[in-house]
Amino acid sequence: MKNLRRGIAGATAVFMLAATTGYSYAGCLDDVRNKGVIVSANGQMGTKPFVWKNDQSGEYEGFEPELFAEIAERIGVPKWDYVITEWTTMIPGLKADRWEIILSGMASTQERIQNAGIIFSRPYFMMIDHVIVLKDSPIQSIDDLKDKTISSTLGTMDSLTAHRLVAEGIAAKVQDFNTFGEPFVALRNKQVDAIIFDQSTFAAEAERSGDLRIVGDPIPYQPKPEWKEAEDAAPYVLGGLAIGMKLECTDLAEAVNTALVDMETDGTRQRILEKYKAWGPEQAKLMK
Amino acid sequence: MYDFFFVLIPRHMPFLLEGALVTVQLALLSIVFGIAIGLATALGRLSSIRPLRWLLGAYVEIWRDVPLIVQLLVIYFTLPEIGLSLPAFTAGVLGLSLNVGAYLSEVFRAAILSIDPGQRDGGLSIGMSRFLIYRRVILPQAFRIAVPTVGGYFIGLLKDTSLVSYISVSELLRNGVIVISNTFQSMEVYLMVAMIYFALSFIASRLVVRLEAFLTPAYLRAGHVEAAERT
Repeated sequence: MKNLRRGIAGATAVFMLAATTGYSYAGCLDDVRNKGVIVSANGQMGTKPFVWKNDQSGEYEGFEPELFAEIAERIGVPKWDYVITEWTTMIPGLKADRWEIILSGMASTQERIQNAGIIFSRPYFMMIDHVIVLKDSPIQSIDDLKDKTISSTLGTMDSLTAHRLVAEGIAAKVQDFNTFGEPFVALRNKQVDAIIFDQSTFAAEAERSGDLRIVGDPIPYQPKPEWKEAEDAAPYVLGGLAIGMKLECTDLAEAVNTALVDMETDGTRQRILEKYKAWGPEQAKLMK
Repeated sequence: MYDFFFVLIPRHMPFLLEGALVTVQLALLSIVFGIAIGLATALGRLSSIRPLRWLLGAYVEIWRDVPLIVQLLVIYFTLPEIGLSLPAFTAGVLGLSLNVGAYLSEVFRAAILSIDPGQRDGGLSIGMSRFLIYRRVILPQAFRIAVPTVGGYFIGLLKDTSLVSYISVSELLRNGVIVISNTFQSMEVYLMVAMIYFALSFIASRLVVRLEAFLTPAYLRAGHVEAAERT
């Protein structure tokens, strides 16, 4: 019933818009509505609690597909799907119309926005970094990292944090690995002393294995010095995952943002994140 | 276009070239060790000691039949469990050398077998030792036959080094991915990476042609080099 009412309201709005302007603009939103399915690139399949495939049912699980399904419904597209791809191909694929959006663990930064020529929605998930060690590790506080090797995943915000810790003299060395699993393996092999991950990746792995603990306080993301000014002026809190869309798809971005704001106020986002134990105090503030 | 050549290349190239230096180091060290392993394996498989032949045959089969990426991950992540923890770069060179060595052993074996057995009989008949026959007669000719193929494997190896990034070595392709993750300019950066790989491979293939000419006796040289450079 709720859906129906929203559908009627949406249809009325479109009708009124068409009536006032005299024609309806065939933008990205109309295209995807006509197609009936919205497709997102997925460059991090198998990363819990974000997105993975259930072995038995073959269905996608995780808070990203649930948010995706909710957004698709709210912008009036009946079906949604993923194309599983390499992380570095998500933007070229977006520009080549292989998919309409990128909802796949991508944090928006000014450096990315200005270089890549795409737009981001408002954030749908806020990440915050933790220093993670094995339960029996001698490292008890951040000060103990001084001569230690830390590790993270190549190209992630975690990696930027790890490199910053080394630049500030807090840790000695960084080793970046290509995928999310390898820093954990290296930690258990004692090839590295600590790893840097966001709170949700830590929580999922800690629950599965039970041999990890956090050292010190969470570390919020900080911009690189040369991007500080631009980030200070940005409307979002740094570290938020957002949905990437083509530069000209302002209509689609607007619809997605409206859906996200609605999901914020009616508690849908919180409900989905809580279901995957990904809700936390840092989620309260996505925009400055 | 203007942006690519005059803004992006000056901005990103120095960092990519840092990675390219590591790529060249990996490839050169691995081909040197790979040639040594390949030659030793080829000779071992041609020897009369059966367990040695069997053992080396198993090595060649296993290393050729398993993906290089798996070999690298096992060397780096599994060997520590039996107490052998290698630094990432060393583990990378070891994995690449053993991999290319397995392929090269077959190249060398074929090259050695292509030398007419009559030459060995000739050597024996004038009282040369088997070692001396190999050193003076068979191997110099076999090397010349093997060079173009070894060169081909070297060019392949140059690009296979990119897999070493999985065990955290910062080489050319990985430095490219770092730039991409910061700027999301995927295709521009991949194009620059491709330009560097092409330049490296092109230089390598020209050097192989030179080496082949150098190893070819003068009376065979004229037509031979011409043919090689035409390709």
